[in-house]
Amino acid sequence: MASRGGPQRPNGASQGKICQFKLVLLGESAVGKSSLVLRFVKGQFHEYQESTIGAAFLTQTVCLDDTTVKFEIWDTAGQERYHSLAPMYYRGAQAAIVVYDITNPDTFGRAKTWVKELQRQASPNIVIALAGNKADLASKRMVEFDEAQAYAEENSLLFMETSAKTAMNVNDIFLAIAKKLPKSETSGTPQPRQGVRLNNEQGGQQSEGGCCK
Amino acid sequence: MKDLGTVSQLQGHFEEEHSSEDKAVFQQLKGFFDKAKKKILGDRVDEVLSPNGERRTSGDLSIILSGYDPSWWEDQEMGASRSHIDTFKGVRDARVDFFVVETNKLLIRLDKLLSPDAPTDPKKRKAFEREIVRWVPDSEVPACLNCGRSFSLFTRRHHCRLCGGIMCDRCSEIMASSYAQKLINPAHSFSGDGFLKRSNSNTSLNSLMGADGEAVMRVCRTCRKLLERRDKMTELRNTTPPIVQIYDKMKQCIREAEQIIPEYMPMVDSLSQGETVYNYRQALILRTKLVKLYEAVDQLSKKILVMDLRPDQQSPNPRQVLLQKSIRMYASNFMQENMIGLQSLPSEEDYNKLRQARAAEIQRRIAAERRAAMEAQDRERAERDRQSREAANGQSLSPHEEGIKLGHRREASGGEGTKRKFLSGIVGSKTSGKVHTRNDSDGTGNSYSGWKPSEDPQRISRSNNADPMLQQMEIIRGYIKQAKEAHRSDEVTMLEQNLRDLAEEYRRQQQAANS
Repeated sequence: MASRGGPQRPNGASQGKICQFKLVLLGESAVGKSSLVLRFVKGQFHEYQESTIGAAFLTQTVCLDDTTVKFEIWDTAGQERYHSLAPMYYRGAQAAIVVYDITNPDTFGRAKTWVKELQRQASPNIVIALAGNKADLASKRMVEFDEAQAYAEENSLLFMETSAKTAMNVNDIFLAIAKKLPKSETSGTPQPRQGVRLNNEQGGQQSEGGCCK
Repeated sequence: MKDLGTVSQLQGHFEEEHSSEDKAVFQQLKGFFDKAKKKILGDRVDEVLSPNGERRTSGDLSIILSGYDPSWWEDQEMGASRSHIDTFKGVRDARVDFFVVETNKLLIRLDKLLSPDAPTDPKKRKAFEREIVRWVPDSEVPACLNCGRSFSLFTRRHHCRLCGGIMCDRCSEIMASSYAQKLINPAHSFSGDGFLKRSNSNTSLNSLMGADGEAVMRVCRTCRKLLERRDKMTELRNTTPPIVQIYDKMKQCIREAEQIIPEYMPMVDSLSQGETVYNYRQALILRTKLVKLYEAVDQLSKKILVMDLRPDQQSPNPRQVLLQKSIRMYASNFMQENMIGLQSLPSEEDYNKLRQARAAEIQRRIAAERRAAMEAQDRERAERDRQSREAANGQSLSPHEEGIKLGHRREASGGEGTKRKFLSGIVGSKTSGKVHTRNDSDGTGNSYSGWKPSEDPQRISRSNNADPMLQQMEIIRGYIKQAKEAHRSDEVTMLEQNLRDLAEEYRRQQQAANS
């Protein structure tokens, strides 16, 4: 089914642990999901960001004390026709950022729906962050900070207002997520390749056991 | 000195002889009192006494003279105290030990007496019994030790088979052997009275049989008491009272319900929105289960509430009643919290309607988005034409103007954009200057170690009508190719895993659609 993330690199001669986390971005279209990750991954901002098709893929590494956290980021398309793809990406994710546009109350409503869906269907340990994007457009604000903050507290979400354009809080929100994610080797990303190997072994044992001698 | 004898004589003498010096004596006495009080009570007296010490109400005076005002007294220190618990424990332990040892001795003897190879012949049996327990010689006991009747030809001596003591017939107890069996082996089932009712005819126990043919045994009252006490203790330890059993059953139901609720809630939420993530029937089954559990909890707690724990006593123990009430309260609280929160499922018909409505809504949105995308494409094309025309005219756009145009173009699908660029110059943290770039190249920000595959410029025209899943697989394949070229092994692994997942999901969807 959904990807359970990649393997953890057996590295660490110079650094400490390396953790790899799958993170998914969700939210109404045109709230700035792609801009947010582009700012985080590349440090860039495009005034004209094309709408995402399906789910875009990016990676970024951040250092946290002695731990290196590598984010496997899936930037999903906000358009409804790609909604069916979203579960593929949030199911195996350790973290999610639900983005809305502070100048558009509808997108905040949609963000709430996403949070609800995550709570119901994503992994129960998923770290969810709520990002009120386009914070640079304060004069057009339609969603109050306090309202969103209260909602986030109620649902124990991380919450920040961000601006991909001015880079405000962009790195911070990713770092906050990285800090909240469990760093122990075991509770990190399960290793899919090992899982497959285990299954194969089990299969072998089963066939042996089923054999009449 | 003259002895004045009685009080009346003293009074008479005083009135006669000393009435004139009355005042002087009073003053003198008062002087004594004042001095003494000042010494004893310190400053407090000054507050109470008026300055010249003469005009006082009688109430004040009486308090002062008697010294009874408790507020004047200092707090008394705690006297010496001694704990007697250890002494008590010592005495108690010795007693408990005594009874335990005695009872155990009796049980061991009982076990021996009841052994299957005990002779049944009365004579041999008596010898066997005396072998196990030393019987007190008849000559040592001239009268019953319990009631004091002296033994004679008519008042016979009887021996307790367990301690060997002597008593008269009336003071002896007859124990049923099935009860004795139960005492030495708690697994032995037993019902009825452990000790037989004495009947007048049953004076002799020469036979080992009771009236109803059951084997019996003569014991003294002390032994009976010890055995019965032990029996009661084991009973208490081994059986749970019915109220506890019912309570356990109720708790079990509550636990089960608590397990089901978190499973059921998201189901209802999802189903009542017309989603197809969960199975409707399954939710229905869970709901029925929950309702049954609630009913059970309700009934069991009611049963506990009305239970009369001690039917033999007239007024029930108030603490017990309180406990029963609390249990019922707990149960009804549990139900209030969860029953009211227990949303009902939409009926199957409604659910189907909801599902269709949701599907239609999604279709509508997809269509609207597609339309918007088409419009955007058209506009983009028109824009490009215009740009090329302008370029042909030899006019180049300033970056700012270009920004405005791009913003407008974005508006087609996004609904924002122009508002942004007016602020772009005003708002801006220190980072914005550094990394705000309109370049796609990696020229800026060496600190950004992230990787992002570039987009396929032809993708929009190619992908408008394809199945999103297939489309996504195509995109991932493109990413994998780029990741390989960039020698990003981690990314290749992640993407390949995702491609496998997608393929798997797509296969599953196709199967579901076909079946």
